[in-house]
Amino acid sequence: MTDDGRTSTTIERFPTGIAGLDTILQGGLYRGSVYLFLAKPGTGKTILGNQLCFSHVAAGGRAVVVTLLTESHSRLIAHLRPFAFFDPASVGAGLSYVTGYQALESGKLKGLLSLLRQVVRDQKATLLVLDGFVTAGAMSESELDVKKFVHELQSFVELIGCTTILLTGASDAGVQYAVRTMVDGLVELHVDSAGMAAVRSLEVTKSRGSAALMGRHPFEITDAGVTVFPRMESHVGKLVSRDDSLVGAPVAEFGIAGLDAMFGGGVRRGSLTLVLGAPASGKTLVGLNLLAEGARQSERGLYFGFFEAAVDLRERARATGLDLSDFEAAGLIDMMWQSPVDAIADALAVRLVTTLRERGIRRLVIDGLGGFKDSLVFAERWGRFFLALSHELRAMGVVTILTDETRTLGEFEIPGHGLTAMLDNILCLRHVEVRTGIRRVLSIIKQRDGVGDTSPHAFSIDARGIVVSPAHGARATGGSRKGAKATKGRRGPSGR
Amino acid sequence: MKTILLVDDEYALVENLTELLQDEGYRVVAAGNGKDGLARLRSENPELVVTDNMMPMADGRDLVRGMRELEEFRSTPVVMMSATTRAVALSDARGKLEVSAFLRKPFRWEQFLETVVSLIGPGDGARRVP
Repeated sequence: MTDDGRTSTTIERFPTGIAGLDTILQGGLYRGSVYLFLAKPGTGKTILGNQLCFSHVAAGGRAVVVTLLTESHSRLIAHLRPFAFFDPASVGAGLSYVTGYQALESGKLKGLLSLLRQVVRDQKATLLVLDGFVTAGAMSESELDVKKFVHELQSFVELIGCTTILLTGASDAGVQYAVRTMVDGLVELHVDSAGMAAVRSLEVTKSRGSAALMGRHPFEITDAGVTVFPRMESHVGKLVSRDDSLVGAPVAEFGIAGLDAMFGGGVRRGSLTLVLGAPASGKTLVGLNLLAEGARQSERGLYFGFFEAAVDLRERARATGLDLSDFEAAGLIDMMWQSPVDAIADALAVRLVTTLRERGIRRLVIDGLGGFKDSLVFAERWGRFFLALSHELRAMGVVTILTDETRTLGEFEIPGHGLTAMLDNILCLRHVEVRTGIRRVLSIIKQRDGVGDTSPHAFSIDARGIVVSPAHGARATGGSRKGAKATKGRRGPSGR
Repeated sequence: MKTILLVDDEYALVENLTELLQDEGYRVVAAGNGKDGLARLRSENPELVVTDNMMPMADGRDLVRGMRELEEFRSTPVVMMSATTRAVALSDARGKLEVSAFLRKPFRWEQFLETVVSLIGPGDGARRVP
């Protein structure tokens, strides 16, 4: 006597093995379900389909790729060979390639269905990819035939427990619609123009039995194969509550005596501070000082930069008496440089957040915001993207310095991208014309806990570092670097 | 060759199970509802009846009750399939039904075949040409 089969009613899932895709699918593909991957030619669906098979086989499954008037198997395998996921040992073992066209031509959709049933059972396949499904649609006599084919296939693969992916670039809107209504999941791949560039994105438009991260998510095809980057704002930072007040949180010092005094001791843990200023106003140096001060307290810091090479940064810092080399050698400061050219903002964010987690980073400098902005293809995403990123950083308790350039030298300029509400502090570095000279002036123009000194302070940058002068009429705030004299011998990682 | 009467209004499932059972060496006759199933029962004299519960005209419970009223099919094994629980599928206002096995949909082929073999033994060998 068989029991009531309770276990069989919960359809199990398996991970795709493709970075990011399981996050979007909220857990992977359902065993025994039928998915339609829809894309124009050249979008990457064949690579994606085959990568899924290789990943599935690597995880212990068995897969079959059935092709219908696509490239020959020898050419297909030759094209797949350069990818990191390609494992020659899998081909012919856990992964089989079968041509389905003869069965389709001689027996129409019924013939193709018989072939699929046979190969799935013969190969004990747990994943079936049917590439060139558009041909099956073209060979059918009616939309009803296609629906019937999908229905029977669906019933069969559910019985056998073989997840099935139909890859198509279907141009027949009727057939496409018919199939869309039937399948358990629909994944669309897009290529959009962004100026002279092209951007790939993936969208789960149907997902029976499960939520999915809706909307488009960028993906790239590299030597590693397909990597999908779930849109930052669709999954990161959603669970972070803004009840996590910074008031009372411990402070992190910049190590610049005058500046720390202006902030009432430093900036709060988990806070985001925007350092605004004209080019060469000292924004980066403020950030590097924060990292160095953290390193002196054995706190790990990360410089995440877009525009300036690490070697130049080290030199500039050294010219102000700040030697980062020992901190870097001790693993207390990491320098990560990335090109904003053709970068995917979501990929950058994943790299950043992963590094923060893996390295246990407590202090972060993002230099500058323009790097992230430039790598966002759709500018209207910026506010939501930054909100998600800032929530994530806040949740990790990381002290973050963000730099951004102003277009003026002397006037205050509030960032025009709607970020101010998400920032805890804004520090503005300006150049002010005084008689025959130019003076540097810094001011706190926003501080969330409001305990600091918001009056403008003159400052200089020289071999002693950043030296902040007292505000006019105020008493002196100290030397260039807090306890500079006393710390001469403790600039290294073991200084404290 | 052992004969299985397969009764289900889900035609795709009937098609697939028929082909799979034939591959295992069983003879399969199919019907789309309990009324037709009862008619085929008399004409085909199957060793096993596999029936869905919820069907038009006459459901699986009607079929099983009809069978039990016939002396020659009183002891024929019955497998009931349903998307509902065993308790719901096998009882109604007329009382509780006894069947040989219950399979909750969706089920896997291996589970189905195991049930069939446990009740009437294996088929006459693979028909499928490798």
